[in-house]
Amino acid sequence: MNKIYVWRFYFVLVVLALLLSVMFARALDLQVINKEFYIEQGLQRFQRVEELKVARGNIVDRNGDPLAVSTPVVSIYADMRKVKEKDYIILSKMTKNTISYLKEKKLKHEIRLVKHLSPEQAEIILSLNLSGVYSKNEFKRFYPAGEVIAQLIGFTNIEDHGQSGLELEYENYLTGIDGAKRVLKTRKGAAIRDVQMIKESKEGQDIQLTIDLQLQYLAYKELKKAVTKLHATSGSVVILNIENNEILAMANMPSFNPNDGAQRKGYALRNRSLINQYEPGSVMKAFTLAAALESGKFDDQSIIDVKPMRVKGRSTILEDLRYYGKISLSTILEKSSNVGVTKIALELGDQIMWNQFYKFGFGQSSGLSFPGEVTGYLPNHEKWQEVQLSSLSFGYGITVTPMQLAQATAVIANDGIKLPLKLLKNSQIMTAAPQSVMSKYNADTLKNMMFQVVARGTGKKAAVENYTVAGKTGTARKVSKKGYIDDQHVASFIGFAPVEEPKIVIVVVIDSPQGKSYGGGAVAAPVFSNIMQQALPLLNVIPKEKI
Amino acid sequence: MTQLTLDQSTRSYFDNRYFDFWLLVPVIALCLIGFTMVTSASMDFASINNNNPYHHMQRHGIYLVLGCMSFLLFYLLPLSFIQKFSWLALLLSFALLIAVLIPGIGMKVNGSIRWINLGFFTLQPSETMKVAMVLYLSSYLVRRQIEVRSKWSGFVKPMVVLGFVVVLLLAEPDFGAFVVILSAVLGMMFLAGVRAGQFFLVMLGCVIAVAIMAVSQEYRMLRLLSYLEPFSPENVYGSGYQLTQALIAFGRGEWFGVGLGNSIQKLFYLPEAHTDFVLSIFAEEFGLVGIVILFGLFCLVVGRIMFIGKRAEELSLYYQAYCAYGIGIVLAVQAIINIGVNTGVLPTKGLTLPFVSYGGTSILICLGLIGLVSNIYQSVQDTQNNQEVI
Repeated sequence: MNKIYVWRFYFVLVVLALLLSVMFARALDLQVINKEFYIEQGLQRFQRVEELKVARGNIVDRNGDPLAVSTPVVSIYADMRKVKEKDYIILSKMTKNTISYLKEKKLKHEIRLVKHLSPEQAEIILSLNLSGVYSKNEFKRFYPAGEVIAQLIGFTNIEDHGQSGLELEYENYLTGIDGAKRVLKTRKGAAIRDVQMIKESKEGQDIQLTIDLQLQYLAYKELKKAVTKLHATSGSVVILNIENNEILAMANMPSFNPNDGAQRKGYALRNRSLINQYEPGSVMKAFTLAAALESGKFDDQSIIDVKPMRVKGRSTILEDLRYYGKISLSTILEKSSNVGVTKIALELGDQIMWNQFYKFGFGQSSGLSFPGEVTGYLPNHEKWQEVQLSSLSFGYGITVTPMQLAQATAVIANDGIKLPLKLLKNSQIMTAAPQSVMSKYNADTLKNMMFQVVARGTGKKAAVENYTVAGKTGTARKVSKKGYIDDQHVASFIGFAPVEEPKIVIVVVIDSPQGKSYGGGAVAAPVFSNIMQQALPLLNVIPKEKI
Repeated sequence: MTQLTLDQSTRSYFDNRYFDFWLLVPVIALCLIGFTMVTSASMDFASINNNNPYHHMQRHGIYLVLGCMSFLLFYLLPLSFIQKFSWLALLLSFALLIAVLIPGIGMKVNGSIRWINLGFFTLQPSETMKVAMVLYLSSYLVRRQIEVRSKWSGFVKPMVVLGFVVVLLLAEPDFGAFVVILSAVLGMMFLAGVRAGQFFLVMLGCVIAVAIMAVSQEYRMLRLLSYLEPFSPENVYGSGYQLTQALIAFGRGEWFGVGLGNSIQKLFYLPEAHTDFVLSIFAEEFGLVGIVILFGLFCLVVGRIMFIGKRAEELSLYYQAYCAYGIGIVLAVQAIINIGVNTGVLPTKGLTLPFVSYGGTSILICLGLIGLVSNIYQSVQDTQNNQEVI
């Protein structure tokens, strides 16, 4: 009766043992035989290549004030395959994407939901902890000085690459190298540990300019005021430090706000100080006189009869506003006599004139390599005829940029020595050796003549209270397809102060001022005066006591 | 002659001790492994979800202490008392199984209603039913031993009770517990001497029934079998997600594991890493070597229980014997199903790994069962000593 089923007992044990053996075989398969597949699947899930984004270098002024900076921003991305349908409503609200858009992208493994949020804004979305939603750290370019220096600095595109201005010119220098590393991550995205560095990152380098943001702001403010008031089409102001030819300011109108992508188009982008060339007109007379003095054929005692005259090849008689009689070189400049400079030029001949202009830097690159920069046009002297020589002497038949004018004016102010222009504060590279363009004696003579222009001549409105100023006005008629137009002018003024020990050169160019007053003396000289008046105290130049 | 030697050798396993060393040491080892793995697998999860990385560790510690009390309770209760009132345990378990289905009492988690929240503790009635079924069926098999061994009726009666249990379990649904209880009932009846022909006929019937279901409801079957292809594109982020993560954990473990605490799969990749899937994390951190040791411990525990049952049967302590067989099969089947689920051999069902997984009811029940086996061992020892004296 009390039979014990020994075989049944062992049968049960064998069944259980067999089941366990199956499990063991499976574990052996998973952990040893086919482990590579599962390890690989695991890596696919938690091993990520993480980009190490580095910031683009900043651009700062001579005092370290920021002109272009990269600020950290956060963009929100989503792996739509992992986003739950019930989260679409809140996701759509927070990221301002329509629900239908989200549905459409349902199978995409990476879409960008919002671009460039501040870290605080991004945190609001990330704190919802929605599955599939993650963030990437990026940088956004910001231009604190905005329109004040927009054309010089330029801007970058959405991929943070320079598109214009210095951003383009120094692209390679400013751009860092993004690195990458392999990391293990938790499902929530937190890094557990680094596995391998794939690419080392390199920070973008900063650029310090010689620009003084205070002067730049001042120049832009005065230029904008004048251009707006005169309904002029455009204008430029360049300020140079005479001692070392550092560019202190380079303002242009019209301008634009580089922080607003919609404004990045049209003529406003042009850095006119460097890429606009125009016929300078009478300001060139200062350089014609420099040639006269340097030739040795004229000096401050020379007297010239400025009687109206015929010039071979010219249809009309060349005459001044009125006949000034027999006058000195200084008076020729003061009265801006076309006849006077024509007589000098014809006496000097094309060789001397061309050489002198060339030495001043006309028709040559500024050495700044600014994108789109032009060299101006100085015609080959072998082809010059009398009428061309005459026109050249008072600034027609030649084109220059405002920067070239400033550099040439600085030569006169700097005892005849031409220094290379400098825009990068710490650059050790000299683009050219200092060159003697004229003797110190002749430079001083010319300085005094230019002083008389402001003191007594056409440039009276350039005068600055408590400081001595030297300069020259210019009023050039503009050219159209039909020839010179009578009612469109380019008004300009070149000058420096103080005369005894020149500190800065300012060049003002205003294109097509409207109204009765359009000449350099009436339109450009006051802008020069206003800027100089405020700039000299800023530069700690001691004012002369009133006599 | 041969018979005598065998008897002596069997006897030498059981010297005059109150506790069975070869049973308790592996159980304690499994509990310690469980405590370590629950801690390891839950710390990151708990620090985010409970603001306390030790949340699950502390609770599991408390469960283990409660489990020791459960052990003592079942160790000290007279077996005659248990045998006499096993019907009451069965009734009580039925009441709980019905209660859990009443809305407002049962707690719904992951689509199944399996828990009753008692505030300080969540009770899982299917777990108590396992115990009650074993206790009750043992007493039935003792009472109706002749009927069971000779007539159809003896076989069918327990099947009716089982039928009620099955209906209630499938209503939750809790397929895991269903399979465990079914295995225990069938196994116990087989060992108790149901006619082999009858038994295998019933088994064959079951197989045919399953086959018909599979053919008639092909769609459902395919969905059920989707676990066999967890990496296929339609499953990988859906139904197969949890399993893929478990399999990756196994694969990453290789021979010797990534080391305690170094699992990556527990970092939110593998859901339920400290409960039903704690084995995967163990496999990742300790490798195949760890798995072999764990399997060995389970073999020791189950084998030991079964041999205690056999010894009891030899001493005509039938109630003790059937109880031990039932407990052995319950623990073995539950462990095998959990391992099968973790390794992707079986479809995912909520079933804990005895002694190891996090979970209050599971620990209380499992240690209580070991208490009962120790109680049986005690009575085996006593009976043996008395016979020797005689």
